[in-house]
Amino acid sequence: MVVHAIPHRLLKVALIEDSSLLCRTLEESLGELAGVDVVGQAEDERSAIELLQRQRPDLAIVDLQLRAGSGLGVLRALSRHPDQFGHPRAVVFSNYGQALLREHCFALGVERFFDKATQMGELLAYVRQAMPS
Amino acid sequence: MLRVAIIDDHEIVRAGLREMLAEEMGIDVAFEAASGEEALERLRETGCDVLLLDLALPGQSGVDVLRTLRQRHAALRVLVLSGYPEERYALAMIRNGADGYLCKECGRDELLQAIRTVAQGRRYLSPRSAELLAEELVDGSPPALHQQLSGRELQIFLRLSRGQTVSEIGGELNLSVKTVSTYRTRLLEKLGVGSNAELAAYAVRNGLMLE
Repeated sequence: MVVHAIPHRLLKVALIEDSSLLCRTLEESLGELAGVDVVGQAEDERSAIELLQRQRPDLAIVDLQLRAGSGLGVLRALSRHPDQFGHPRAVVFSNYGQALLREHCFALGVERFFDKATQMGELLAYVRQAMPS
Repeated sequence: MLRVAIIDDHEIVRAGLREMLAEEMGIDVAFEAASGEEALERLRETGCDVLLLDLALPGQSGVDVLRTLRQRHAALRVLVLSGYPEERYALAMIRNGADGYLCKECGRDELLQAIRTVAQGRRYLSPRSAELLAEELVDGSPPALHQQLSGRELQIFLRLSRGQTVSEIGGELNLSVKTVSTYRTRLLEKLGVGSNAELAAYAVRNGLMLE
């Protein structure tokens, strides 16, 4: 008898990041994790909000510095109108790690704040534990 | 309404501060500027009560801007909000006319308290700055040598440690070569170093390079 594995529900992840190099790197690393589906990328505030409305991901990984607008604008939209986006979880992946800015992001509902320079590993570990089991 | 200006070269930091302050009753963001030059320009038309000043700015550093502000806008309250910990600059900035010094590792409540305190015409010292000041009062633990420099000396010190020549510095600060040389001699003496190279080494050792 062949037992088919029950397909796991995928964790839908959106990348909001203005560096295409970093976006590719992240996508590759996330792609290696079974159960993760990168559903889209955006590099400015407006297209990020459109992407999140359209895809309603489970998790948004948000850089603060974007090509236009900022990640703060994206986070504000998520915290004001969570229904429009299907209540995704959000984490920040940024170079700006000062406590003052981190605190502001947490006030906007961010779950975790990862430093781009040093915490890529922690971010991937976070995504791994966020996957539905 | 308390009008606050934000001077920081990082757009994200300005945006974060702007949003944080906008949520606060009784506080209005008067303007933002990405450099000291822009801030001085904006101040000609737009008044404000408290100015949040970063130290590491492109062009004129926060040290330069503070000096100009004290000359031209004596009533303005200046709160230095720096990425550098208090050990580096707090006492030097307060000695040179800042009304308070906060490190960006502070929390939101502390920032708001500091803004309100300096707006009332009082000084704001973070717990760490107060501790440094207390240590300074106790015999046997003098402040770090650079914390004793005057505003001018600090400006010239930072430029010399970046490798600028005496005549370049004179040009930027509108001072004669002779005057800059006099300051240089005095600050070498105060810091106990003998050359520009030793001076740069001192700056690096104490984490004082403003980039």
